[in-house]
Order: sequence, then structure tokens, then C-alpha cells
Amino acid sequence: MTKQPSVLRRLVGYVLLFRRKMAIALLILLLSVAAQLSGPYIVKVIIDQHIAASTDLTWYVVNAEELSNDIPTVALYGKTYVRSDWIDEDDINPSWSTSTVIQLENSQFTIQSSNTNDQLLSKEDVYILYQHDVVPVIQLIGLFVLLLLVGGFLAFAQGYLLQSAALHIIQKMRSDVMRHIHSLPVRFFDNTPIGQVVTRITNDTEAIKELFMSFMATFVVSGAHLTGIYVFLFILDVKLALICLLILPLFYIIMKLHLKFSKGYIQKMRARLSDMNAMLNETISVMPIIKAFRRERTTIDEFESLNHDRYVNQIKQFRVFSVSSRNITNLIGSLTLTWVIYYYGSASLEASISYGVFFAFISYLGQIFPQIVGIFDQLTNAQRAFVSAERVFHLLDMDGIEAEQVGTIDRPDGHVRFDRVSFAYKDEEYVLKDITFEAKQGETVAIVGHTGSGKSSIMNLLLGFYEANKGAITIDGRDITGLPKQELRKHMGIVLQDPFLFAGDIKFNVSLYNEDIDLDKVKQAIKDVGAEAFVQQLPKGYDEVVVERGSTLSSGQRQLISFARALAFNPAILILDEATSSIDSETEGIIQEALKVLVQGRTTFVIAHRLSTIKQADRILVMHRGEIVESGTHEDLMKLEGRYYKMVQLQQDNQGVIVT
Amino acid sequence: MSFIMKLQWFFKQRWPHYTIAISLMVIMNIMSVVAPKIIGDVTDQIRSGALTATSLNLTVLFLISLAIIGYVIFFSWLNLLFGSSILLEKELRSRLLKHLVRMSPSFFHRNRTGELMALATNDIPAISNTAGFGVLTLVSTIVGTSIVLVAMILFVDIQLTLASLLPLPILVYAVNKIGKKMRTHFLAAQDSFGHMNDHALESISGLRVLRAYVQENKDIEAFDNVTMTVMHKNLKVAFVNALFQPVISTIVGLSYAIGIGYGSYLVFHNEITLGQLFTFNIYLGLLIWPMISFGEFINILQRGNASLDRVENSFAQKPEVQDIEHPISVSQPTRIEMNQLSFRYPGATTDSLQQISIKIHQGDTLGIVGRTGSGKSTLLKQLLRQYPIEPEKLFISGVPIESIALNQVLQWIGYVPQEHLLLSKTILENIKVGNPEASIDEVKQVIDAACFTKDIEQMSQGWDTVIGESGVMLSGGQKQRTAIARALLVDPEILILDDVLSAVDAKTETRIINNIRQLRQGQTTLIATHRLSAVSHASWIVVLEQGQIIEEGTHEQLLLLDGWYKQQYNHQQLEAAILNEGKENTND
Repeated sequence: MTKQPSVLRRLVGYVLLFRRKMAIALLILLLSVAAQLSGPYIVKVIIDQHIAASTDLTWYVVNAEELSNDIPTVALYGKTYVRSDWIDEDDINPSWSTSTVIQLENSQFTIQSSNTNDQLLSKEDVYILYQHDVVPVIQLIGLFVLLLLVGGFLAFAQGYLLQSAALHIIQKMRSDVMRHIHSLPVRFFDNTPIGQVVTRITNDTEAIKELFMSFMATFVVSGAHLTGIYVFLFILDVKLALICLLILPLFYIIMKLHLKFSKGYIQKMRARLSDMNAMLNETISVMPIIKAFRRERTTIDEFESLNHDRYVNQIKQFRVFSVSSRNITNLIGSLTLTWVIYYYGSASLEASISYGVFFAFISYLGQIFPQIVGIFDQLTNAQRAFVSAERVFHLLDMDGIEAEQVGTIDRPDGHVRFDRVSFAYKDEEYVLKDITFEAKQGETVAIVGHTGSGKSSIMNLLLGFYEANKGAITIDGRDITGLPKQELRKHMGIVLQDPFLFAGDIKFNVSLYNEDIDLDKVKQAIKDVGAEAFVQQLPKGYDEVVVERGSTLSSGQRQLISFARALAFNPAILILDEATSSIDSETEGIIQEALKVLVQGRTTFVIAHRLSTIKQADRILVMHRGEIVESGTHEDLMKLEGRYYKMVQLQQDNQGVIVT
Repeated sequence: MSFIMKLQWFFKQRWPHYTIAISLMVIMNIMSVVAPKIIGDVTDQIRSGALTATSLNLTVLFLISLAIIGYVIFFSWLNLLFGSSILLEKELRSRLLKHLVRMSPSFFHRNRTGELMALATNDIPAISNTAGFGVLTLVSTIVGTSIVLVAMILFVDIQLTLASLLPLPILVYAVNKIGKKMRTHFLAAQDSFGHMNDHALESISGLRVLRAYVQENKDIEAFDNVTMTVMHKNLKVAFVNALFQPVISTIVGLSYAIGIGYGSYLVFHNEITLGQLFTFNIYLGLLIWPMISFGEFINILQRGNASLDRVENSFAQKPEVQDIEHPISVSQPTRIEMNQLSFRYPGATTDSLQQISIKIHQGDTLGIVGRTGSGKSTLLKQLLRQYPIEPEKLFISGVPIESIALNQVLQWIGYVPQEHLLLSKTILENIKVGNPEASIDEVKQVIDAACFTKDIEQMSQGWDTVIGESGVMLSGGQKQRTAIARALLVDPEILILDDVLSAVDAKTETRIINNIRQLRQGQTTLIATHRLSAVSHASWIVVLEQGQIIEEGTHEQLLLLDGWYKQQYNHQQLEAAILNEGKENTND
């Protein structure tokens, strides 16, 4: 494996595949943030320009006739007033006297004029004062609601787009992984538990998906919101905003400290939990021993100490949590708010302040902290997902040979030769030593021998699942080493000892994905192997779904189906690993007949266990510890009175199955 | 609140913690409505010019102290509340194990390991979550909301309160509906994920077939379709999910709009001050979160309840085999007699043992042979008291076994099961399972007897080698011999060997059997096996077929009978001959 770029780079690589979608989503995000954050600003305008305006701004006492009709005025107690923001500066007559409206501590309003006594206003009077502000406020509220709806819609669009991009990325990743798995040599699967491989494709990619989704939702969206909030803060009051900027590094430090202190506890917690679960699992499976050896007390004590350890760490970790995270966020929030109050309070003692800005600031501040908490929560999840990403990329990096698309290949005659072939799965431990034999076109060769004698290895080499260490294997004179595996196997068929059935119906199990094998061919194949009777008896016949790898079918039935599969594919070379399990005599007979049909006209290699099968073979190879020790027809070998002879004698007692 | 009822034992135990925690939460909620009021007041003071430096400073100091006190209180009740829920989790786990250890094998047939593990990994955490986070949400919603509402009405205006809260029921309804939709789509997505998992598993398990028939590319295509389906189902989830936040913020925004709009109207009519408007707005913010999390609370409560039911269900099952009230004490197992003993596994349709009658004395060796499934293991297990037994059919020293204390019976027994059942610990620890106090010499002796000494010497860490999943995988024969040593170390009055030498070659088997015979003179041994050579020395041999004794006698007597025993014996001799010959052909 060549050195690969970091996990982060590769994840980004996947993201870039969908950059257009991302870009649009980001643009919409910015717009939606702007719309959603405009609310407090609009309120600021309402407060400053309409509510507080009455007390902040100067009122001019005018004569009604002096002004044009479109300028609003307020008539109270015989006087006409104009507020300074209702007329242009140029139109102000210096001769006008001014008044101020003041709100008293008891919340009542008075008008103070230079040349008259203060006039206390009743509630109705106050409304008269405000009458011209009503419509603008309504309009502003309207704008507020409009931006709210637009912002909401945009937020929806952006949310969906980003998540959709994440889902597309994961689909692509899964496709890549599966494609790669089909290119990995069979050897890889000998050393890796199936469960582990499947986890890569499904669970690990799922974790990455979660990472993307949460990353989008929090870092990107929250990040955008936070930026937007700070932009507005700066628009409102630069100095205060700068001070509020300090919150961010403060939180960063707190987060780091929190992660650092909790890390130890969390690791211990997780370790204890997995220990406890493992112990629970084991206890359940060895329960008879625990009871028989009266080990209950010890088991309980052992478990309790793990339990207690986890508990202690959990309490400690929680203490760290309650000192930081939400609690300290609240504290900092409250203190910041207090600071803002102090800032505006003391400013107001010197000069007049903008209430609107004061309010808006408080509003925006309130929105910062939930965003920060959200980011915080996602950090730990992000770590976990990275580990998953690493595992997935590790798999993708393994060297493999991609399955080639092969067109039509001429059907070989099927003349197979093994020439001084030696093979070892590992290092120098040879399981095949100097194997030489020949199978002419259409011949049936039976291979017998005890477990570990090398029978399956011959099959594995012929199928190209492994490569021979020494010697040559040829088909029709062509050495198979150079051939692409798909070409090699195009005209081969395999029947396993424990036939593998796929989820899907009977038809699929016979034809697999081969479009050339239609229902008629399937039916013909099933008929030829003698399975028609039982298939027709199934509730849905050929459409009957095979469940749980065919566990509802008997082992004999499963064999017949995999025979039919081989027949339908009509290979030139067939490899058959006979089942050893005993079957009822009726099905046994059908299978024996089916075998005869199957081997006709093609070169067949049978790892045989039944005497009837072996007797029919054109040639029998007796294997022992990786070597061919006897070879010939049944009659030849019986005359030898060697290994083969003894094996035949043994099986006489064993219902036709040779115990190996 | 059936959840609380079911867990009363716990809540009663922790009631001081919960009471204090809840009181603190109430205090915090009350404190939380203070600051907004102060902001409002300060605003009005600024506006009326009543604010002074002193009053401002005092106010600020007050707010700071409030914040700090709040921090301490929050810390306290968090620890009190979650400290309890964490403890609950620990307690439940503890109970689960204690319960499992008391159960008999039929319990483990009824409840698959996966389900039992799920109790520990899913259900118990869910219950603890409800007891902690659930309580938190409940109280903060009910108490928090009420306090804020009271404050709104007291400090501001009741009409404004009502008006602004109009959209909120819609919020609760919307969150609920969206939540339901999401769950439906989510379940569908999970389903499709399961299919994808199955397909991947199949593609890899059936790899050889797929490759042999050159179907790789087609399978890749098929898998692509599956992942596409998964993606589409998830897109539906994403669609509904994307609705969540916008819907919430829009409806909440409407509340704010009404608050500001109608609030301004009231300000214009001098019904409320600007400061009160500020206060009101902040109170609205305090209301929103508890409302949203209430929906989450329902979820948590449902899950916790369901989990609690499952756990209770499991705990309610009783052990099937128990001591009788006044067990009879027996000092030595001088005789073991079965008198027409029949046995059927719970839930089975036929008897596994029929009318078995055997009599053996202390010091005898009983051989039990027969085909697979003939009932050999079942016969042996009768002594282990794993299942209820017919009364007055199995006697030890003349006393019916069901009348003897379980502990007494098990004390006599050394059991070597067919599935060896070793722990993921060191070899030494495994051997000492039944007798942790054994001396080194005793351990060496049994290892020798089990012909395991050489194997251990060849391991780099000897008997400190850890075996099992996370350690070294022993071969089948090594596992068997470890299990034999384990049983021998207990020096049992009755040694039970259930087909324990199948993975060991004939020579070693003979040696072990001889060692056992020598070690255990005067003690009873029962051996079930396929290999007749292991029991040819036995005092008595029974041949089982479908739960019945079809032949019995000594080895010589059985050979004379010319039945199944003789046939098997001859067959096995022939087999041994071939294997031996094979070995002689190569350098062995």
C-alpha cells in the first residue's frame, strides 16, 4: 500500500464530488441566516424610532397652518406638536419652542416645556402622542414576519440540501467499498472475519454519514449563525462587540479543558462497560459450568467490582461535566449579560443611549450560547466517526484486482492438466506436493482422501482463487496464470459441499444475475436434475423466496438447486464438492441421478464421498497429505488392495458415505 | 406515572436526593425570572432618569452574585439528580447478573443471549436515562413554565401573555406531528439499512460462488441499487428532519412578533413600560425551550417504560430447580440408582429418556454409548439437576435426589461438558475454577493426568497464557484436556465426562483414561463417548438408542451379544488400523 493522504483530505475529496450542491446550499444558508437574524434588528428599529423616540427626541410646538398637510402632528391640550424626526432639518423654524416628553418613575408621562408647567398625560393622551407610530410599527412587524417566513423556508431548503449531499456522498462511498471488496483476493477473506468486513460497508460508513450530517448541521450551520450574530453585533456597537468576541476563545479553552479532564474517565467507563458486557455474554454461555462448579458468588463479585469501577468513574466524569459544559455556559452568559447592563447603564449616566441597541444586543447574545453548546456536543461524536473513516479508507487502500467485464469467450474444450504443481497457503507449509494429472474433455475425475489431504486446494487453484507456488496448470494447453480470473471462470461452475443459496426466489438462485438464463432455462435445469417435483410443491413454486440461506429447505433440496444452477450455466468445467451429511434415501436417489445428468459432456472434478459417485468416475485420485498416492479406475484400485481398498471396506458400514 | 410506581423501591431509597434536587431546581427557576425583571427595571430607570451610579453598581453586584449562586445550585442539583440515575443503572446491572446466575438452562433456551444482552446494553441505560434526564425535563417543563408564566402575568400583563402564547400550542402539535412522521420514515430507513446489511453479508459469504460464476459486476450493480434505496429512504427522513428547526423557529418567531407588536400597542397606550416590554421578551425566550423539550420527554418516558417492562419480565421468571424445604443430608454417594427414569425437556414433544434403570456403586465406572442424539448427554445431566426431575426415580445412597440439597449434590460432582466451556482467562485460572485454593502440586498432578503438561511447557507463558477470544485459541483437544484437568482438581466423588476425548488421538485417550482410573480408585466415574475404546474397562456399559437402553453389560458381555456394540467396536478398530498405517507411511 502506498502512503495515503490523511483521512480528512480524503473525506474532503468525497465532499468535493458534490461541490455544486454544496455551494448552492451554502449560499442559501447565508441568506437564511441573514433573514433569520434580522428579527432583533427590526425590533431595534421599532424601539428606537417609535417607542423610545417619544422621550428621546425633541418635540416642537408649532402652529398647525404652518406645516404642509402630509406632515403628521399631535394635538394635546390645545397645542400642536411635531416630533423632530417627522420633518426635515431645513424645515425647522428656529422660533418654535421645544418640549420633551419624560417618563416618570411611576411610569406616567409628562410633557416638559420651557415656558409652561409640566403637563401630566393620561393614558389616552399617551396614545394620542403615539398615534402616528402605529402604522409604521405594523409595517415593521409585517416585515419581521415576512423575513421570518422567508428565513424559515430558506433554512429548510439549506437543511435538506446539505443532508442530501451527505447522503449522496455515503452512497458513493458504499458503492466504492463494495466494488473494491469484489476485487480483493480470496486470501484476504481467509484471514478476516466476515462480520468485520460487513461492518466496514455498513456500520462504519453509517458513522461517517452521522459525521457529515452533524458536521453540516452544527459546524457549518452554527458557524454561519455565529458569524452572522457577530456581524450584527458589530453593526450595532463595535466596542461592545469586540469585548463579546472574547467569549469565543474563552469557550475554546473551556472545551479543551473539559475534553482533557473527561477523557481519562470516559475511557475507563467505556472499557469497564465493554468488560461487563463481555463478562455477561460469557457468563451466559458458560452458565452450566458456573452452576456445576458452584462459582456463582465469585462471578457476582467479579462483576460487581467492574460495575463499581465504572460507577466511580462515571460519577467523577459527571462532576467534570457539571462544572463545565452547560453550567459554565450559563454562568458566562449571565456574566456577559451583566456586563452589557453595566455598559449601557453607565453610558446612560453620561449621555442618552439607544434602547433598541441595548435590547438587540441582549437578544443576539441570547442566541450565541445555544449555538456554542451545540458545537460542543458534536465534538465527541466527531472523534468517533474519524476512527470509522480510518477503517473504511484502510480497506479501500488494499491492493485488489478489479473484476473485468468479459464479453463472450469461446467455450474451452475442458482439457485440464496439472503439471508438477505445489502449493502452500502459508509460507513453506505445502498442502500440495508435486501434483501431476490430466483430465481429458468430458472426463469425470473423483478425488478422495481424508481431511487435510489437499483435495480442496486443487479446486481452489483450478478456480483461480489462489496461485500455485510451483508448476503449471493448463486448460486446453493454455497456462491459466496469466488469464484474468473472470475469463478463466466464465465457463466454470461450482457446487459447494454446503450449497450456498442467496436471498431471492428459486429462479434467482438458479440463474443468479445471468440475463441469458430465463425462466424456461431455469425450469429445464430444475427438471433435468429431478427437482421439479419438490419445486412445484412449494407454495409459490419458482417464485418461492428462499429464507435464511435456505434453512427451510432440506439439505438435499438445497443440493438439487445448486445442481440446477450449475446445469443452467452449462460450464465446460465443473467443480463439485460432495456433501457428506446423510440424507433420506429418497432424496439420495434423486441426487445420484442428478449427478449423472450433471457430469455429462463436461470435464468434472468431484471431491467425492459417496462410493456410487466414485465408482462412476473415469479416474480416481487418492490423495494423502498433499500427494497423489494412488490413481486409476475403481477396478484398478480395488485390485491394488491399498488405501482405497480399505476405505471402501470401511464405508460398507456407513450408509454409503466414506468417513474421512 | 406507572414508571415511578414500578421503580418505587429505588425512589424510596433515594427520596432525600430527589427532593433536594427538585427543590433546588425550583429555586433556580425562580432565580431565572429575576434577571429579566431587573433588566426591565433598569431600562425604565434609565428612561426616567432615576438610575444612579450607586444603584447601577448594586444591581450589577446583585446580578453577579445571583449568577454565581446559580452556578453552584446548578452544579448541586445536576449531581444529585444524575448521581441517582447513574446509581440506578449500577443497581439494575447488578440485579440482572444476580438474577441470571440463579436461572436454569431452560431460561436460556427461552431467552436468547442476544435478547438478554440487549437488556444490559439498551434497556438498562434507557431506564436510567428516564430516571435522570426524564425527571429533569419533566420538572423543568412543568415547574419552569409555570414560574415564567406567573412572572409574565405578575410583572407584565396578562393579556399580552395570553396573546403571545397563542402560537405555542400549534408548536407543540407541530413538533409532535413532525416527530411522528420522522419516526415512521426513520423505521423505514432502518429497515432498508438492515436489508443492505443482509445483502452485504450474503455477498461476502457467497463470494466463492459469485466469483466462480463470474457474477461480481452484477452483484456490484445490485448492491448499488440497494444503497440507492437506503439513500432514498434516508432522504425522506432528511426532508422531515429539515422541517423541524424552521418550523420551530418560525412559530416561535410569531410569538415574538405578537409580543413586540401587541406589546408596542400596550406601550403606546401606556399600559406597560418599555422596560416591561424588554422583560416580557426575555421571558418568552425562557418559555420556548421547555416547551420543545417536552416532546422529547414523552419519547424518553415511553422508551424507559418499555425497557422497564422488559427488565421486570425477565426478573419475574423463577428458577425451575430449587431445594425443598427440609433437604435430607447425605454424607457419601455410596450408590447411584435410576429406577425407570424418564425425562422430557420442557417444551419438547417426546421423551429424551425412557424408562432408564441403572445401578452403580461408589467406585464404579459407567460407560454410556450410542449414536448422536440417543440421549447420552441427557442421561449424564440428570445428576446435574439442571431441570426438574420425576420424583423418586433417581436415588443417591437410597435418597431421592430431589430431596438432597442442590449444593450437596453439586459438591460431589466434577463435570466436563461436551462444549468444554472455558473462560477468557489464563489456563491456570480456568483449571482452578472449581477449587481456587488448590496447591501448585495438585494443579500439576491433574495437568499430568490430563496429558496436558507438554502442551503447557511449549507455550511461552505456560499456564499463565490467556485463552479465548482476546487471547490464544487452543485446539479442540487442548480445550478438552483443560476442562478435564479442571474437573479433576475438584477431586470429585462423581466425575462426569461427556464425550470429552473426541478431539484427542487414540493413544492419548488411552493414557488419560488410565490416569483417571489410577487417580480415582474408589470414586465414581460416568463416561459418555463415541469411542468404545474409552469405556472398554468400565464396570458397566449401557448402549442407548432414542433414549432407551438397548444393550448393556460389561465389554466382554456386549461383544458376545453381537449387536450394535460389537459392530461399532469392529468398525472403530478398522479405522484405527488405517489411520495408523497412514501415519507409518510418512515420517511421524
